[in-house]
Amino acid sequence: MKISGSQLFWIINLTSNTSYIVLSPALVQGRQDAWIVLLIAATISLGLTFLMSRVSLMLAGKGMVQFNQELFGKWFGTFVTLLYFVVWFSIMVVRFRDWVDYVYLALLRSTPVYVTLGLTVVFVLYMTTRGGLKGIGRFGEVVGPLFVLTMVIPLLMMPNALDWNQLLPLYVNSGWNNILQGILACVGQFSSPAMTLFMIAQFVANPQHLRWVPMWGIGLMSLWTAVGAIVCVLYVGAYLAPRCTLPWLTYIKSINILEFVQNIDVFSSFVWALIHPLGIAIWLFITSYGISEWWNTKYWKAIAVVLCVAACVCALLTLRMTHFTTIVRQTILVPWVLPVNMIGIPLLMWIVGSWKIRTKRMRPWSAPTH
Amino acid sequence: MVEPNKRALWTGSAIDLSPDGRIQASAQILVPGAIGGKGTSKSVQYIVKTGIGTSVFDAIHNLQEQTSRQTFIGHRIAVFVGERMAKRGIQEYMDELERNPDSNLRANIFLVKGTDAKEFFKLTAELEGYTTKVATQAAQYSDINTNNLKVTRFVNTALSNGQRPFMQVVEFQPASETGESQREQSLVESGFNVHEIGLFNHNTQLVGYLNGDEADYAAWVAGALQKTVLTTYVEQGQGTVSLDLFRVGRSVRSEVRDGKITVRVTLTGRGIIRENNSKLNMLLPKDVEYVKQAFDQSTKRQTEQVIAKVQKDYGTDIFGFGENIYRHHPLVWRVLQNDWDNRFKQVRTVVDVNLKVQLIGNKGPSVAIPERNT
Repeated sequence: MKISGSQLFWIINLTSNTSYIVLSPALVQGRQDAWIVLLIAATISLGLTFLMSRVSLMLAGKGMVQFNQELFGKWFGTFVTLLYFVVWFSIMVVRFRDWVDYVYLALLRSTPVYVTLGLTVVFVLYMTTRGGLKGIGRFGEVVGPLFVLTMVIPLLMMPNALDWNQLLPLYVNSGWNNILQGILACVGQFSSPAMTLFMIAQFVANPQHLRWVPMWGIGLMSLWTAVGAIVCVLYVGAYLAPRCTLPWLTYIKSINILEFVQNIDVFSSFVWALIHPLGIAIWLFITSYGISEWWNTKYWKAIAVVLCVAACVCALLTLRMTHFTTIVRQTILVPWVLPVNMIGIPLLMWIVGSWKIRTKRMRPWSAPTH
Repeated sequence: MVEPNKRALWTGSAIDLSPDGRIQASAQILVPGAIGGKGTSKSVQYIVKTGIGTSVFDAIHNLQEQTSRQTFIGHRIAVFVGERMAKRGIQEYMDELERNPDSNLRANIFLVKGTDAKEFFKLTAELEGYTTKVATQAAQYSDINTNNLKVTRFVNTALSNGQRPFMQVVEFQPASETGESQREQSLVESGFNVHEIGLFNHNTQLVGYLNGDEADYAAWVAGALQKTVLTTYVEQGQGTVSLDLFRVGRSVRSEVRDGKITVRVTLTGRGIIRENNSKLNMLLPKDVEYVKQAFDQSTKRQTEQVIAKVQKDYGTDIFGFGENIYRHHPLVWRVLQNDWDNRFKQVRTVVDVNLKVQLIGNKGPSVAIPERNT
């Protein structure tokens, strides 16, 4: 079940496809300066991805569970690992909710939620259990370019809206406080896919790919988001765009070229319907495989089935919370997951790992010598 | 699951003030069999339904209860606002147009002059079958850029602090006023046009209208014009020339010094001469230059008049001068914004016009001037 470099790229790139959701906090806090918020957030995310990819390079040979136990000792190591499992599972639940909300908002208004969820579960489970990570990676290689097309082509469809004055005034109106809050929210969303590296690392055929490929994956997606923010401000308007729940969706729904090219969202929705389950499948795979490593069993597929159904039930239970994505971002992702799972622990792992390798207390990963 | 034949094809909404001061939403709903097919069929092509409620969607809900099919707003291509409603202010009733996920974000928004918007639905449209289509098509081929006539743009402008929105006006004589209430009033006889624009103030209340030519110049200054036709008398040729501008643009530069605001507007355009009733020979560069200067001067004069009229009579900044100050001098704007409607009236404007005659048409000299043998 080894994956190639391009598969790694698409897995990371497509796991961060929540970027069109990120547009909302960036626009709310930054308004016409959203692109500044997003560019700074992208830079910080690249830094975090760099950190996490270095850590994943350290644990490339053995997997996160074993690595953490070697690093922090049996109990604390397991505790650290469990922190990640909980976060990955909760991200999976959020992704399920995202998908259900989107389907309700844009596609099927009277379909019961459990039908939408059920169909997604079947797709996700099939992808995960039949193909494993390699199957997901290959699927990513097929739909990834399609996804890029549906995201990039609409960017070019604003011929009548080139009033660049909309992007003024720069900075003055937002101030540091707003921009900083926007940056935090975006960093949380941008760099969460890098956490998957801890589990994916052991499956990468050539671990050298772990050095730069994830940074390309996340960097390109966050660059796209910055451009998307500019387009939303230009087309939807600097006043209306921050009030939209999904600004990107509002933009592609209002594309109108000569009263003829319309309803572009049809194509995007079709591709999103493929990409979203892929994103869920990755979180499901790494969580269930990690748990199977922790329990020392090889029945990760059974764990995947249980976890997937459990995530569904959680998504159903959270239905009474409106706009779940925002709630989770404000209460869990930014105040807890970002400082602990994306900054604190990776930093600790990196420092302790480097120290142990230097003092020869741990065997480092070494490139194959053939 | 709703099959297409169980859906009501809701093509246009009308938002009016009901007699008891609530919201009255009307829908023009198409009768699928009668549209398309044979144009000669005399059957009913659409029906008009009306619901009353405390909000727009409440009225729509009320309307559903009178309809045999499920209403679906996704097909709505235009929203019409009645004059009484517009005068009262529509700020608080715009949310449904944007929030409702069913709503078509590409819908046009129109102001119905002189009467309730619902009356427009009752006219019979000879060419297109139903009046909503007539209005949106007319808007598409009108001089104002379609993107500026959409609900989304209107709402974004209404939300802004430094610009006031305008709407394209649908004008016609309602049946009752012409005494033809007995038989169906036809659109052609009603004098339908989309010539004017209606100006709104900062509370999104209607404050006045600008007629056709004024509307074009105002839209030009606001950056909302896509094309126009100018006709002017050229002194040197002792006759009129018509210039069809196929590309127009404008740039605005604002300056605030000692509390005095100066806005410099530069109007540009490129066009083709489609009619020449003067003695000028367009093959001569000198004569074309006369034409250009005549157009520059007349455009400058009329634009200044329109800006002055809007400043003096309506005092509502549809040109976006305030928005320009906000974008280029944000710190100054913080003070100015509190009293912008009053300050807008005192803005000194300088208009520069720079038009280009790109093409002269098929003839050099005019064929309206007979040859004189010497």
